[in-house]
Amino acid sequence: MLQLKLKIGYLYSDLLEVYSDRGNVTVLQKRAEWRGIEVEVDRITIGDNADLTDYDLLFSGGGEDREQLLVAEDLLRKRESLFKAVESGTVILTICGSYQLLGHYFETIGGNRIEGVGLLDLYTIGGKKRLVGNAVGKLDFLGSDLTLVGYENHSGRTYLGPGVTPLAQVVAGFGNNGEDGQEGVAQGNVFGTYLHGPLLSKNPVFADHLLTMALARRTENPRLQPLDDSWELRAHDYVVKQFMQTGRR
Amino acid sequence: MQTWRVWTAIYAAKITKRLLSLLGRKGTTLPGAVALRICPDLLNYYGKKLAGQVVLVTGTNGKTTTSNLLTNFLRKDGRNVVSNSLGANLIQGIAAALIEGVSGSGGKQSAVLEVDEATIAKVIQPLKPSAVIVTNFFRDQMDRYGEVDTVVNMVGDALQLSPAETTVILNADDPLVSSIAPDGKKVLYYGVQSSDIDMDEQGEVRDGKFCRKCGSTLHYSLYHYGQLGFFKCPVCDFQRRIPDQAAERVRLHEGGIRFDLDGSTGFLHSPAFYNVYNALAAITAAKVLGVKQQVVEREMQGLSTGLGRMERIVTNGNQDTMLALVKNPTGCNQVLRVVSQMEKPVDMVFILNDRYADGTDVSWIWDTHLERLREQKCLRRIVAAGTRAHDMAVRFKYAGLGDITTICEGDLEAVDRALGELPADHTLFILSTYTSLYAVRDHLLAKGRAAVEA
Repeated sequence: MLQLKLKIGYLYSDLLEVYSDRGNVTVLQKRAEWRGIEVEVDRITIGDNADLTDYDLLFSGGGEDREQLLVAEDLLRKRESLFKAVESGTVILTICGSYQLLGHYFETIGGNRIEGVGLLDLYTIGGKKRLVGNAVGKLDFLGSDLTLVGYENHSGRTYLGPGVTPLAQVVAGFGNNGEDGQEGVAQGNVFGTYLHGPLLSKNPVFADHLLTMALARRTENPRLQPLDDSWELRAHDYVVKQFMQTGRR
Repeated sequence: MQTWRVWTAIYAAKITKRLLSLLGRKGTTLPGAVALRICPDLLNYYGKKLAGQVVLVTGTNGKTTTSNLLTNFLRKDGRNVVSNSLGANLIQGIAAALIEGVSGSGGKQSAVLEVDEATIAKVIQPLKPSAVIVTNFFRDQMDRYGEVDTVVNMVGDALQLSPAETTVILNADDPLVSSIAPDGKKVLYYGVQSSDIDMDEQGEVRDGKFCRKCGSTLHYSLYHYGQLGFFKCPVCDFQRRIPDQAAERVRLHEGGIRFDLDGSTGFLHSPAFYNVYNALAAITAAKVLGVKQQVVEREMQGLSTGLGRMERIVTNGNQDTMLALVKNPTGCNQVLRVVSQMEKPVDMVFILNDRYADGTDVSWIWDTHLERLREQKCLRRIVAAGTRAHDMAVRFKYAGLGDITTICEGDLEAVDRALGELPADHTLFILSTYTSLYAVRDHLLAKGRAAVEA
C-alpha cells in the first residue's frame, strides 16, 4: 500500500502568529505522523503565488492590527485560489484575525472597513472592550456531547449570517460577540474560531475530525487509529471543570 | 498637596501595614492603596522629598533583576536606598514601598522602583526620576493588554511626559525600545557589541520585526535573541544606535558569564545571556546617579541576579539546583538555551500556573522552542507541575519529550520528588511561573543555601 501523505499549508505564519497559534500546526502534524502518515508543511505568505488547491488542509492564525491589514490585501489576491481549494475539499481552519477575514468585512472602531474574502456569510465589528479569558463551548456538529475548550482574546465582534452555522454553543466565555452565545463558524470544510493558541492540543477529537476530513481528499473512507490522549483529555477536563462554574454566561 | 492629608495618608498606611503583619501578611500593596485613597497626589510629596534621586525601571523582562543590581551599586556607594524589591510594581505597591522606606526626618535617600508598563505614565511626573530604564518589550501576559504594540505605545507616551531633568536609558539592541526614544530629552543607550556565545535563530519569536517608523521589515547584521541585535531599516533612517555603554566579548565562564566594558571585566554568577543586559542597564543608571567609578568596577566583578532569576541553590548539602522564572516565550527560550548548554546531566521541573499574576493564558508555552531540548542528551527526566501541569505535559509530548515526562500537580511536591530522585552528578533545573517562584525558592533555601548570596 502506498504511504498516505498529507499536505498542510500554513498561511501567513510570519505575520499572524501572535497568540501561539502555531501550536495547532504542530498538533496536526504530530497526530498524523503518529499514525504513519507522511506530512509536508509549507509556509505561504504575502506575495507567494501558491496554488491553494494543492493543500489538504490550510491553517491560519491571528495577529496584530498592522499585520492583519497586510494579510487582508494579500488574501484578496489569493481569493480565487482559496475558493477553488474549498471546492476541492481542502479543510480550512482559521483563528481570530484570519477567521474575521473569511467574512464579508471587518469594520474597526474608527469606522475603517477592511474587506474580507467573502467566503462565509459573516461580518465583524470592532469593539472597545477586549473579550478575554478561558472559554468552553458545546461542539454540536460532531453529533455528541463534546466540549471545545480554549482561550479567547479579541476585540472584534463577529456576527454570523443565515448562510452559516456556529462551531459551538458557548457555555463559559464570550464567543463570537458576547451576545448570541455562538462561538466560531463551521461551514462544510471551513472552520473559524476565536479560541486561540494551541486549541487543538486540548481538543484532540476536533483535531482528528479535521485530519479525517483532510485525508478524504487523498483516500476513500479515511480511518485514523486511536491514540493515547489521556494527557490531552485531562488538560481539556481541567478547563471544563474550572471555568464552567465561573463562566460569564 | 495639603500637608495634613499627606501625614494622615502615611499614618493610615503604617497602621494598615501593622495590622497586616499581625495577620502574618507582607502588606506590599494594601497600605499604599489606603494612602492613595486619602491623598491621591501622595507621590508628589515623595518626588520632592527624594529630590531627583529616583530611578524607575520598566519593560517586559528584567525589571526585578535590574532594580536589584542597581540597588546594590547604590548601597555599596554608601547610599540609603528604598526599593520595591518584592516586585509589587503597580501604583499601590510603589506608594507602599515609599511609605515604608522613606524616613520622615530627612537624610538623603534614593529610590529604585520597578514599575509596571501601564503604571509608568502615572508615576513619571510626580516622582521626577533622575533616570528611567526601559529594558525590553516581548509578548507577555497578552491577557492583560492584548497586543505588544499597545504596551510599547503606553511606555512611549509616558516617556514623552518625563521631566526635563530625567535621563532616559534605553536598550539599543531592541528596536521596540529604541523606537520610543522621546524627542528633546537626554537619552543614553546600552547594548551588546560583541559576543562569543552562539546564537541560533531557530524557534525564536521575534516581536519587533517591523520598523515602527515606516513599517518595513528590519534587516539584521547581528542577532542576539528575540528581536535584539544589530538592526537597520532598509527604507528609512531607523537603526540601532551606537550604545553609550557597550558590552564586548560576552562569553560563558565557570558557570556564569563574563563581559568587557570600558576596559573593565564584568562577571555574572548566572549563565543567562539576558542578565548581561540587566547588568548593563544597572551600570548605566549607576553612572547617571554618580556612583563612584571604582565602586562600579569593583561590584561589576561579581554580579548576583538572585531571587529565582537563574539562581543556583545548593540543597541537602550537595544537590545542585537552578531556579529560573519563566513567563513568556523569549525569556523561556533563553533559559532553555542555558539548559541545553549544560555539560552536566540535567533533570527538570516545569511549574506552569495560570493564576492572575502568572497570566491566565498559558498558550505561550507553544511559542517556546522546547523541541531544542530533544537534541540534548543531557536531559534525563522532566516533571510537569502546577495548576496547568497537564497542558505542560501535553506540550512536552508534542515536542517529542513525552517519554521522559511525568505529571505532578503540586509545585513543592514536584520539587521534592525530583530532588529525591536526583542522581549525584545531576543539576536540577526548576522553571516556574511567578506565583510558585518564591515559595519554591524558600523551600529550597530551607534545605540548603544560595550558592551566591543575593
